[in-house]
Amino acid sequence: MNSRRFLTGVIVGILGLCAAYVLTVSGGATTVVAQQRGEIAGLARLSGNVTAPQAFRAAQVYIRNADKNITYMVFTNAGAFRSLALFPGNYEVRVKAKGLESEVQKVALRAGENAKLSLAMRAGQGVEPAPQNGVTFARYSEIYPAGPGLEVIEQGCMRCHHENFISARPASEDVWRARLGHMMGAELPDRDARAYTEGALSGRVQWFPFARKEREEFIAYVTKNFGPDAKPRFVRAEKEVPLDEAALSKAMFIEYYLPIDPPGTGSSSPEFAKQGRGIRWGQDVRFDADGNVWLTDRGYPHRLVKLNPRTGEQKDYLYPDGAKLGNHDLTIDRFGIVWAPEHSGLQPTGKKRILGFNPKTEKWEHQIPGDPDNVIRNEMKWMQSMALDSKSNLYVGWIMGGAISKWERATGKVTVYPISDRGAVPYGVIADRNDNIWIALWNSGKIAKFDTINEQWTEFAPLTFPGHIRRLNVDAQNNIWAAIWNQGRRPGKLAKLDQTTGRFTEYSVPLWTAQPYDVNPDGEGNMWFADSPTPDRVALISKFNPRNQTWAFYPKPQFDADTPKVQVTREGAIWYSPRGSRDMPAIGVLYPDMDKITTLGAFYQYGPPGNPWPSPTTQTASRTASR
Amino acid sequence: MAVADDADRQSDGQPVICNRLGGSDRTRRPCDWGSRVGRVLSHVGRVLSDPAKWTAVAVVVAAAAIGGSARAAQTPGKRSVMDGVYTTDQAARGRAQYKKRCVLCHLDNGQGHAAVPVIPGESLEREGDAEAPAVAGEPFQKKWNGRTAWELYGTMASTMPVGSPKMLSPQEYADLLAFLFELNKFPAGQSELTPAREQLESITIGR
Repeated sequence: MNSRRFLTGVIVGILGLCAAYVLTVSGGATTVVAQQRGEIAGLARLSGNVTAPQAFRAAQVYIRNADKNITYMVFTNAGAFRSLALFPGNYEVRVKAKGLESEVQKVALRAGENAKLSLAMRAGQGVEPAPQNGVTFARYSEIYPAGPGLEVIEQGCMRCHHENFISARPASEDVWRARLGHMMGAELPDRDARAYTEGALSGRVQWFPFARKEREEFIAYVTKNFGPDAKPRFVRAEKEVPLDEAALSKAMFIEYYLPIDPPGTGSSSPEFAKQGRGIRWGQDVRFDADGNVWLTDRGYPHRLVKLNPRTGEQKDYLYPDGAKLGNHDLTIDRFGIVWAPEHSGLQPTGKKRILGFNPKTEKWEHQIPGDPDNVIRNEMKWMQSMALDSKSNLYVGWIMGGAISKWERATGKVTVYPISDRGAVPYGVIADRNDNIWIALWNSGKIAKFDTINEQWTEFAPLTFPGHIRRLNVDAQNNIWAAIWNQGRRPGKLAKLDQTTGRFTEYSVPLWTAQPYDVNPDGEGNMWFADSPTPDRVALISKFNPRNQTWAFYPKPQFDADTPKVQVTREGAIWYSPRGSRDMPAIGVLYPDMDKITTLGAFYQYGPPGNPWPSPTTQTASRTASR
Repeated sequence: MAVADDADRQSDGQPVICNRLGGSDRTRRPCDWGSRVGRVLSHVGRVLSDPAKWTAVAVVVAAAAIGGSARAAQTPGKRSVMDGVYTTDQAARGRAQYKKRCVLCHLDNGQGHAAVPVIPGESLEREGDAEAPAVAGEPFQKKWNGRTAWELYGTMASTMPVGSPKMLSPQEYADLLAFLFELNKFPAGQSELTPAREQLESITIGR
């Protein structure tokens, strides 16, 4: 063997080893993806065609698994539809569009099957809810004619109450004066406020026309246009939702319904049948490290619900002490503890606690007084939203009380910090990547920042102010995003605060009366938000692409069920609960591109608590979890 | 305060309420106890002197006693809201309280939250006052039929206004009760409702 041949042999050997290494690594990755795709491949598919006597676009095909009480919903494109990842079992399939619907067809699907189905629609109720007796629709300008008093309604009332609240409630001048008095806190000299809305507008409010003369104009206006002889009316949507049929045909919703309690038990029990309307009431969702989705059920009795999306199995956990002391949000820390503070409940004046549930022991292991030193003097004080910083300290907003509580993990100490804004009603609470806590102020439409290092508050007013903001979030560049509801003829907006410049940028949502609730980024920088419906405009999960400023809208399976919170997975699936559903409370998910599904499990990109960036804590947690 | 158990009749047939305290209301007059007792004793003497009348009276008295005791066993001192258990003046005071404390949720005519249409898409959170029941009309009367005014009074005073129950005085709650009876078209009468338990327990709701 000469030296040249030897060298060639060495090079070939090295190249061979490199090739083997590359093949091993990529092969491993392929194996993982293949395993994940195998999870989906073992399930069933259903596709087909839809016909109708008139033209239709993006008809909604409801594919209900009767065994598991799950509904898949996909959209037609030129009359064709397809779906995948269906659990084997017995199905009921129907399709609806505006003014059109089909009969239910039953089909049984086996694992791995790719079944076909043809559906025929005819005139029917379609996707919209049935009309109510005695309620009519009219144009906004007909219901709200120009005149003195309208300015107060549009700027003062519709900021929070939307355009149908007043028109649906005709009443006498006595009632209207009582309503005005409620908002001005007329009874508060004699007692404490019993809701965070009460007294939100005092006679000293300076954000919009609300002087005494203007309040009298308001009374005259509503008495004239919405007096005791008026009929309830709804504002007709004057703009169709712009739908991209081709994009929608790639999307698939799944709703996992909460089991309805048997008669005489749970929410139907004698103790709770009259409380909370006797229904289950899904509120917020979060993911744990194992891909399960957790939900707060605000019905009575209160429950935490754990859903394993890969099987459709649910398990309920009752809150402690009678499961009636109030709940709302939840969050999950890197140790797996599910945190859920107490809200108003059936004892709105009780001392409220920060509750922590350990899924491993299935016990409420933490019951921490939220205000041990009684810093908040309101007789009624309720907690709601939370955020975790990088040290897993917990910050909880007092929506009734105007403060946040910090639970310091290392010491177990709770400290209460009153919010600087007068009459603050803190709604959404989040942490940015510098461990600042950001809070949406429901009462004013401002955003408050709490610097956790020097314990200072800073307030920010968006360009649209006053406004109505409930939720906010942070993107990968540490920008703060907030969703601003529409107000009369002023459209709903997404607002971005650039922390590096301190400047706001706002984007108008191209919808009729948009009420964007939560806003949450995906891994590609798109902002996803849930939009509340109107009586004749469907509830939506929507996407905004800040790079090219385009919008995409996905009608939800339940036309009239609003959603307060969305959570995005590392694969870009959007989880939610159709909170407004009276008949079908659920945990739901939107897959914008069903072909990208590799698992039905729900995982944050960087693990709980769901920050959109790899913070030191989550990096550590991810490494620990991967060992 | 006037009492109804001393009622007599005027020449025009309208009930006159004897007022032990000598009130000045035009439908009331002080009791003339001497002349009334004398008339009764004279009549009793005439009856007892005639054996036939005495026997007849004994039968009537026995029957009355049996019947009376039977009624007493069923409904001792019971009245109905149809018997006029409040006054219009009292209902007017109750209406003023209602306008101040109740009308926000229970609305003008006591229809309650059921009168507000469901707004499709409106958050359950924003419905507000979903628990405000009707306090007038068929739903109310069906719910409370056969129950006592004391039960209704107790429910009102222990739960209303929401968030601050028992904030009104007992008489103010009784006035509100009177207004609810007026709202439900139960007739007014000559005497006011009091918050006294024994009085309210004796009044049954229903037509």
